[in-house]
Amino acid sequence: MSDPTTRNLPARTALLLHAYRDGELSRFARWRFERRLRRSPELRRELSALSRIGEWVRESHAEEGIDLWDAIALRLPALDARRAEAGAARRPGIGWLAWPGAVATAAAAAVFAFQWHTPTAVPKAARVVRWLDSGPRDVMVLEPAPDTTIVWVIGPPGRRPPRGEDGKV
Amino acid sequence: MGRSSGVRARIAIAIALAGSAAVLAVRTVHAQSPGSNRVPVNVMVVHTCESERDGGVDPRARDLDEKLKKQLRYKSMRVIQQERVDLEMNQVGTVHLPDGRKVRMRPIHKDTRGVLMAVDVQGAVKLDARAPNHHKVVIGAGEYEDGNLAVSIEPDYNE
Repeated sequence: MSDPTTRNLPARTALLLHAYRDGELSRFARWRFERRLRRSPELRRELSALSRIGEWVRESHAEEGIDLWDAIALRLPALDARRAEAGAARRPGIGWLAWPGAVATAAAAAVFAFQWHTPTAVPKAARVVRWLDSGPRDVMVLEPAPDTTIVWVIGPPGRRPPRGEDGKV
Repeated sequence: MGRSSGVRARIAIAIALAGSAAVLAVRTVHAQSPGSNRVPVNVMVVHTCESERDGGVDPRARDLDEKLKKQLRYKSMRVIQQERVDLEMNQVGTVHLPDGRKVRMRPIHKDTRGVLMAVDVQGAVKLDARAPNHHKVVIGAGEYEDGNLAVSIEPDYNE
């Protein structure tokens, strides 16, 4: 016990003073020490000084704790905001473009593949037959179905195709 | 926050690469298809007759009959010849008609619209036709016996 408040006291008395203040003395020892306190003004001053120092320490600990927590608590949102700003500055536009970009790319690939592999519409009969030479004979090009083209040569030149009552050649 | 953006960007890039790779793979497979330069052609020579002496329509020509009966007048149809001619580009295939004439065909070009073919039915007609796959080009080859000959040409290849 070498604290400044008990520096002038004998070691045993200082030890007893601290034990009394901390409530560590037995009932009999406490009675005897209180009798000494009543007789010695110096001892009462030392006890009073020791009590004040304890209060200062508790107060300083309490104040320090509140200050630290408040300071940290106040700084946390600011730190988060600064980190978010720093992240946004490092990757401008990439974050929000990622998913739309992926969807657009996939859609473009799908359209490209569809166009590539979808067969073109069946052409008309006139588009199927590109060139024709029947010599002096007449010829008739018909499309009875989307998947069929008929090229029919009809008799000698200048003679209209013979048709029946049903319109057939 | 920054970490999740990075993950999203990586996923986007991965999807884009996967899509491109798929398209390229399909394109490559099609380009390297072994039969891509070959054009098998189904050829059928039929004899249409105004009498029913041949017993109506040949079962092998039922499909052709469905297409022709609305436009041409006949009562019977029999198949004289049916074969599959496997041609390379610019290779000439020849089919003989029962009266001794020849039908010559030559595929000139093939793309998504079909096969451009030059066809010569000897003594009847010459033509160029761009026929899509499975499209029948039926050509009247002139009179034969008491009816007419017709030649059906149908490209039949793997797309």
